[in-house]
Amino acid sequence: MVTILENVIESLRKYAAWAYRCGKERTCHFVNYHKLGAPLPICPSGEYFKYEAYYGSGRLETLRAIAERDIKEPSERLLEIIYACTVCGGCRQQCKGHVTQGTDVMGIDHVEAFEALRTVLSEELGWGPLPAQKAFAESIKLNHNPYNEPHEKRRACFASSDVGEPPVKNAEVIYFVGCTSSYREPSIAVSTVKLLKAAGVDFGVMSDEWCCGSPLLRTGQKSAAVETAKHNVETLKQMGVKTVIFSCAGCYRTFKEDYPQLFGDLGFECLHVSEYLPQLVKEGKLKFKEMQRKVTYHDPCHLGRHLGFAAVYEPPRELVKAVPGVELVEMKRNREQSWCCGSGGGVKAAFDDFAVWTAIERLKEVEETGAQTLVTPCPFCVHNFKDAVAASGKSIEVLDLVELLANAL
Amino acid sequence: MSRLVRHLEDIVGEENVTDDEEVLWTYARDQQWPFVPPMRPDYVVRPKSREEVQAVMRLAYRERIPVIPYSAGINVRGLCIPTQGGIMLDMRKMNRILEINTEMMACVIEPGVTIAQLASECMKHGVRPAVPGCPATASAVANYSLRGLYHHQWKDGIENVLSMEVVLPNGEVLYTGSWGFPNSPGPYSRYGQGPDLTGLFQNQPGTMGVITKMCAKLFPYCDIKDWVVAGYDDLNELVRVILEFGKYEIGTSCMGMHWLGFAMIFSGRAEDVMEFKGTWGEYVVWLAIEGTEETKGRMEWEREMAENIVRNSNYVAGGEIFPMPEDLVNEMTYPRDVASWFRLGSYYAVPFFAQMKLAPVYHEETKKLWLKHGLDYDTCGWFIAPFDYCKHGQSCYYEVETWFDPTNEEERQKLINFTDEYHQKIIEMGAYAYFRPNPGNMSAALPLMGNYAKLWKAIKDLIDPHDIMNPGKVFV
Ligand SMILES: Cc1cc2nc3c(=O)[nH]c(=O)nc-3n(C[C@H](O)[C@H](O)[C@H](O)COP(=O)(O)OP(=O)(O)OC[C@H]3O[C@@H](n4cnc5c(N)ncnc54)[C@H](O)[C@@H]3O)c2cc1C
Repeated sequence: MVTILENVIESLRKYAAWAYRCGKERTCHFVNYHKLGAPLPICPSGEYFKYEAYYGSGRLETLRAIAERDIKEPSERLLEIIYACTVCGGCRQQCKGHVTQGTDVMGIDHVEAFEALRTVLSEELGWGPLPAQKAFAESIKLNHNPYNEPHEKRRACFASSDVGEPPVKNAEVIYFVGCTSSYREPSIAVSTVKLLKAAGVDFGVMSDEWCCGSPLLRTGQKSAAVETAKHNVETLKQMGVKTVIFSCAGCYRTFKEDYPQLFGDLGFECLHVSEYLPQLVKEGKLKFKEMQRKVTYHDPCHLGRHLGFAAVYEPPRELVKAVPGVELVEMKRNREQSWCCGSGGGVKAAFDDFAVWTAIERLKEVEETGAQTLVTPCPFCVHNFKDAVAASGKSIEVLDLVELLANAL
Repeated sequence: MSRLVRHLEDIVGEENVTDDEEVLWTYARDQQWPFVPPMRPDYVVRPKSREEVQAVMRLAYRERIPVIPYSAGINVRGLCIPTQGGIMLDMRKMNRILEINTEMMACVIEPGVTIAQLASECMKHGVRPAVPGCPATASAVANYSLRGLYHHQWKDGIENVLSMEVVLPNGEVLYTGSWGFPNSPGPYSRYGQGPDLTGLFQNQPGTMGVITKMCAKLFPYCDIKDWVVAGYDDLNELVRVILEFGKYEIGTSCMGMHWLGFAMIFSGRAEDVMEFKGTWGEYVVWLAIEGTEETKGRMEWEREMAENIVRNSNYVAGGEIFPMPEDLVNEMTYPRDVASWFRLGSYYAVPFFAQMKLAPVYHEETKKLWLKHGLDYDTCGWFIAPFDYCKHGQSCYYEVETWFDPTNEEERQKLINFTDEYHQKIIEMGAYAYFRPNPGNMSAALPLMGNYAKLWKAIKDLIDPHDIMNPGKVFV
């Protein structure tokens, strides 16, 4: 077959073909209105920047233009188009319901395409990533966390809490704490340990836990990501661990989705804490006190649509409802139709205003439900929502799921 | 920064103007790029009000810069792809539903309002707008002004505009229909004073002015939907059945289709589409019967009549009345899955207005030409969507469609060659008109249209003397 894709950048060939296949029908700009009854927006980047280039459909067209060398050099605008996207997969979700034209593939995978584009920008063209994203890569290399915090302080959060240091040992169950809980939202790490201890789980933490590599993968810094990921996988294998549990949705997605693609079968099971705890509740090992509160739940992209068929939607909701007196009310956009918190994909580091705007949009939806508390099982979402509460002055309490549960012990 | 960008920024604000190449690329192609060469505009401008549109138009008029109105950009005919650069006037920020009036059965909307937005809002009021078969992400204003193909056109026809507020190329504002008459109580009637000026701005893709508001028809919402589907091997018999339905004014929507198009509605994956072959006969007709609790009696009668007509015909499959599947009800309310109907490849279609009884002729002629160009007959879909119950000239929308791999040079070229010849063929076969003007078909028709074309051009020159409105889309 004579194809017009003869002279494209090789690593983008597959995705450039998708750009040609895209019907440009803009269904990726909106939630599934057949399900929700109204065409609410799904794409934070498109809604914030408004030009076509910033929606999934336009970004795919930008990919084509780079692949076919219509765009020959980087510019501030180009980098904004490519990196001011949380890669939340809202567009993919809408397209995934469909079959990609002319193939048996279910929909265009915008997440894969945009992450591949970022990898090409960093590792082939040298146009990216953005300075703030380079900076966190540098920190991950030096300190094994993106926050420029000393590696030896990784477990410091526990020392100042009432639960004390979790055991550093080779247990069958290992709690992977993650950078954001360790350094920015310590109460999440502490609450998780509290819950595991209260349920009598024999667990340990790693003596030398490194960043999972999620921020690097999302921003196309793949080689650096492989380095840090390799350390984690090898260490966990050496420890003979059977189950790794995560309180961070980002770390969880990276272990569950990306690591097997990089290293094959990991040899241990990965569970988000919201999948691990329900059994303990069922067995009566975890009991909660009554707590009068109207709560709404935000689905992190990493725990939801990024996982496709393995998405975790119901277990966290069951846990919220397991607290007596707590009333769970849903936002209009929920589960796979959820509006992103705004912080993922390297956006929080490079475009904080956009990240906070996106979270404020979500807070408006929280207000519509009449809930006092917004609960989500992801420290990165929590962190950004707290910034949005501060910026908007809205009186909404933001809690991680484990914080809500630990408060009810 | 250029002088022009500065001017535009003064009008719409800095954040609403760009000439950045990377943004312009994303307005350069639509899905029909094999037939319409990609081209970037020079600027994208996003007005927020009619006043801003007026100021942009005054500037463009003075400086003779082309302006391409863009409301959702999904017309799939290259109608928003520039031919000479210029200003892409992205209207998506003007997206207010200004009025839903159930007493007048009319709504007033801005161009950025999508069909889905309008349909979901109307539902709250117990009414529905005209619903075209395209993804409901399309703009209602753009669609109604182009005149479309609607799910209930069988009953309600294809004319859904009552009146308009239009910014003319020189920046002046025109109100049409009852909106243009002093002290008129509202924009709710198409029948204004003198000639029908609303029609001047229809079916001429953005070439006469910028519509900034539209008053459009609303219809009662129907919550009971049944349908009858029947397969035929004889196309003449299918045509006879449709004409019979029309005689008794049965149903709200009705279509005749090649089996391939029908398979597209139901099959999940590309290979399943082909498995449909032979299961429903060569051709399929479907008729939707809709109503409410109050109109149940009439629905009962319609069901009985429809069933009788089908049962007394030479059908090969189907023929029963059953409730419309929920997915299809959604599709009739605010289409979305249509975006995935095209599983075999990118969507290609050549539509025209025609006469119902000639459908077998169109079909035969199309087939001959299709094969002449070495195209695969198994993937030559078509459908016929009659309107106004086939009264008054038996008017129909007839579409030849297929699905292709846009990256395959050879396949593309065959389709381009077919299209060029088919545009002539449509005239030869005695169709009424092309469905919509576009550069590919107008060059075939205009030289043969005599005084009709001359007067049309004279009016265009009068309204748009500098030819700045979406140039090249009608008069090429
Ligand atoms: C899968 C699929 C199926 C389809 N099926 C149907 C169908 O069944 N029925 C149907 O009717 N259509 C159908 N279409 C065609 C198409 O979607 C519609 O014509 C669509 O309504 C065009 O509207 P838009 O909002 O995309 O307009 P745009 O693409 O933004 O504009 C279309 C034209 O109108 C002009 N225009 C836009 N806004 C204004 C304005 N404010 N003032 C003046 N001119 C303006 C533009 O310059 C352009 O020439 C289908 C398309 C697809 C992709």
